[in-house]
Amino acid sequence: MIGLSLKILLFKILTLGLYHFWGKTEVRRRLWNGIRLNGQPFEYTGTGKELFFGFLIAAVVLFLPTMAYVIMLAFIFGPESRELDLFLLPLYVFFFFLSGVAIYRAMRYRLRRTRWRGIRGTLAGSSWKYGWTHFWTALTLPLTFGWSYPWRTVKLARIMTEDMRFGNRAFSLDAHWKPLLGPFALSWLSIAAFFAALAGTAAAPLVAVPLAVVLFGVMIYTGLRYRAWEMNYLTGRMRFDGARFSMSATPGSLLGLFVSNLLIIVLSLGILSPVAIMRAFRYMVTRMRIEGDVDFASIAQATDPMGRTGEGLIEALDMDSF
Amino acid sequence: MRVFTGTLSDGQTAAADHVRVVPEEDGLRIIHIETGREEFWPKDVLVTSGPLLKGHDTLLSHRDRPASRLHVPDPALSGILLRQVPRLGSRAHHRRILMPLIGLAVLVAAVSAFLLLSDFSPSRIIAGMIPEKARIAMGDMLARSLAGKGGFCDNPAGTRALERIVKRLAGNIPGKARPYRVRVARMDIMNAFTVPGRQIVVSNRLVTMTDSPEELAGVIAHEMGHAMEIHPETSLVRSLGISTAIMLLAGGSSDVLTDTAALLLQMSYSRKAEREADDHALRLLRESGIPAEPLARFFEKLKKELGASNENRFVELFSTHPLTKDRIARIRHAGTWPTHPLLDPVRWRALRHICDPAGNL
Repeated sequence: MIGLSLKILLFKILTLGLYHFWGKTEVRRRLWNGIRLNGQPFEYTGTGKELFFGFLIAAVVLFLPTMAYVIMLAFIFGPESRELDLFLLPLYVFFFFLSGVAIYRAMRYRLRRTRWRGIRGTLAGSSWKYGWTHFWTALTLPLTFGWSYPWRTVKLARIMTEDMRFGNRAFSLDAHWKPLLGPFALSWLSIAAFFAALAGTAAAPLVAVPLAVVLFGVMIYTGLRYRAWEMNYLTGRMRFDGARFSMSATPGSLLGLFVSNLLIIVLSLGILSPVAIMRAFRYMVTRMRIEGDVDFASIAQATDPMGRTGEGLIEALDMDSF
Repeated sequence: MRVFTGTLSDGQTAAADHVRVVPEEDGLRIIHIETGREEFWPKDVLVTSGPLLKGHDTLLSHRDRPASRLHVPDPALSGILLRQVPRLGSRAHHRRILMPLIGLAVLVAAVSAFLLLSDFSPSRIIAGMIPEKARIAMGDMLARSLAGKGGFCDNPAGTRALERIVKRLAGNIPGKARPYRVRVARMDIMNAFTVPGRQIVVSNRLVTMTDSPEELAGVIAHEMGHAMEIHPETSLVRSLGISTAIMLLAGGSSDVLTDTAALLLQMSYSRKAEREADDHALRLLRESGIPAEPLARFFEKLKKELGASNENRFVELFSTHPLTKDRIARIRHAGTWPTHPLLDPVRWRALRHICDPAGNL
């Protein structure tokens, strides 16, 4: 992966950055190929061209109307006016709504370009519907001081998982938000306690500063503990035909992964980010177990259209993970 | 002949058949172990989704059955295939991707370099699109804003003398005769500005610093050169950005205009723009029968003054008009031509006193 990272860097320089999309494709091809099921590899069949054109289309579709809207506002109200800021707000809201759509579409593109034994995946639902749920459930977060977070997570995971197909067969997710509430409450209270201590540092520094340091550690730990719990729970409640899944994420190993990956990316100035991506990917794959039998002969090929371009929206909004 | 074992999926279902794979000279022979059925994949139907890597397992597809997959875990097969079908290798793969991309990158670089080196200027094109009325209105506003509290000088005799110089110069501008508006402002600094809409503001300190009407005519001719090349409009568009430019196109709002006055004061023209203005000035002077030498003298005087007082406020302002030896030399080398007098001493005196109250002469 280090060799690949350097090769991608060289090619990016040679092509004035255009190789970005092809480099990403190459990294994914390696990652997918590293996963085996019944001895046979997964395969990533996407191309750099699809990502490149997806990005171009989304950039034009998003950028031009946005420019037109902003210029029109500047015309009406003049630049740097309060009205301008006010009318820009719907634009931000719209972009946030689009981010949910983008997440769903990127996932769908990746599933459609993932094959095992020649059979590919897909998402069978509507990206607009997911985007809408992603949007309105986010509005509940400030209204409930964040307490709707586990509910929202399960709701979104259920849409995503139950829309997921391998060939013509669906996944299912039998999950509820209640089992997540305990670990979430602990994490929420730790965050609240930390900020309370932080607020108290001015009044009583001798007590509050050491307390805040300790509570910071507690906050990180309980946060990671919730995250691990959530991953393990949601994976464990997933089913595919006769197959059950399980995940064994732990707060300590998650912390190790985050810190080491951050160091790799920062110290290499981002050049070795493929290495970090591979490590995160490997973490998920090695800690995931699949048990049970699947009647593979009864799973037929997916029949929905493949789509010509991919992930344009998520690239244009600059919110991609790998 | 080596025989490999692997699995073959037809891409219709997720089932897989165990197969024996025998590489032959012109393709792969595949034997289904359970049924004994044989099939042959010729070399040229073999496709992969990524490059085949030496020392890795082999995952192949069939060109006419794109969902089918043949998987052979033994890394030896990839070595054999790479020798027989080089197009599946990573070198061929990268060549296919990189050649067009590098071509595109070179094209982008070449076009950018060409645009940078050539005269192509989007700001100037947009500036040229601003309607005449809007330019004049905007320029007038900027001129008033620059003049500030002092306002413009309007001693009638002085104004008439100034008109004479402007008419003589402008009478020689080719194409449609378009009016040039030159005004003297009571300003503490010594400068001359051109604002959009062919409007020129000269500070009275500059007027009093000139020793002859020809010197002043030289300065005005230079500023007219800027106006002819729409330098002020172009600079405004360039520094204000595209959105403001579009507002100016539509006539502009007063807020924007007053804010740009300050900007105009700090604006500097490139050496190229100054040279263009100088060239126009020389041509106007020649065609109007006014000598160029006084302009050169004026620039020299200015240069000396600037060198002497480095802390002065107006130095900073004039530094936006790069005054180089080259420029003075260029004016000197423009040659001589037949000249005839511009203003008689009475009119010249009136012009120098343009900022005095009316009726002083």
